[in-house]
Amino acid sequence: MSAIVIENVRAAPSELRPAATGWESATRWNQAPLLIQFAGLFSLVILIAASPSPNVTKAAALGIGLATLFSWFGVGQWLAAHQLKAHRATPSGSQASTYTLDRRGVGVRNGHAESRMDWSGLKGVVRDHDRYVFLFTPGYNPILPRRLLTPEQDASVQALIVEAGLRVTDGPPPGVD
Amino acid sequence: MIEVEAVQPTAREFRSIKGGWGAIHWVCMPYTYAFLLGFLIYGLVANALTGHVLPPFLLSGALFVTWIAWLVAGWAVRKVASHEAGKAPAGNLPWNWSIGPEGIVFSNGLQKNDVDWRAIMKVREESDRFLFLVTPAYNPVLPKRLLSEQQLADLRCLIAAVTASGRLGRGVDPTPGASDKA
Repeated sequence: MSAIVIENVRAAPSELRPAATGWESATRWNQAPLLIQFAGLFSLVILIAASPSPNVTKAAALGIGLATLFSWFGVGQWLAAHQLKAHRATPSGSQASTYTLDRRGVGVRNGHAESRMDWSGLKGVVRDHDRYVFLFTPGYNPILPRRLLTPEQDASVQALIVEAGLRVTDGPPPGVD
Repeated sequence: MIEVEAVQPTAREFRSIKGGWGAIHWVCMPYTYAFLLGFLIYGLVANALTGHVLPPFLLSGALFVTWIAWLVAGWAVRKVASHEAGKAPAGNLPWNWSIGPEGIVFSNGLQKNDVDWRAIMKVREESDRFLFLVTPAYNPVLPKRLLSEQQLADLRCLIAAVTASGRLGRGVDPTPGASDKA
């Protein structure tokens, strides 16, 4: 099988979402510290609401609790948008990539950088309805949008992955995250 | 060419970077500490409004307990993530670095990365490490303890040369708005 070359790869923001499966054991508890902060603040709000303190104190506790929650959501949204913008403003992140898949592994390159991974370095591949996610490490999972592949290339990619002996995990169906 | 073998930064050398990517750092702070900040703001407001009406130590006790639980949870999450990352085929392999006038090549037997100086926004030298800022999520770390005095001097000269020549970070697309396109 000859190498499969896919040029001009630039994942859309929706395609860059974290993989729903693959590194659960490493990421399962990531939100725990934040949830502890959340639980601590709202336990206090509830305690004050139940205590015989003045109404103005109860209102302040609830107001500040809610303001904190909404601020956290707002900043999170801002971060998600600006992290991608900051990435795309870098020399390497501003360029589209070329993916090359062959019997040895996966190559990703642009004008200034190149990364070449052996299939034996991958833990597996997630096959979502719109993309392939190559599970290399919990922090590095190159994404290949399937919309850029012809049906023949898509079949060849799957054949290469199976030939490499890697586990292919299907992601959730469209609309389910 | 500066060759450095068996590069495997310690957890301390892998600590978060403190600057180099602008506002993202500062916005991460309130996001990470949102609810503890909420506690502090509430403490100030509650005191201003009511004086000492609240039960003694309620606010400070709740803040302290939450802070301790948050610290422990953060430590545990980092340990679990590091342990699980080490189980990945390439997760715990030492890297060989090769630094030259064209850029940096890293390899570990299963992966090879080739990064041109034009792709590196800037280099930060800290007390124990060099940071090569490529993207906000990709900042390779080179511990200084692995370099000889001669290699340290050569690396500083090389960084000064690629900075002076304008090659470092030259790959930025100057087209307005180009970076926003998906």
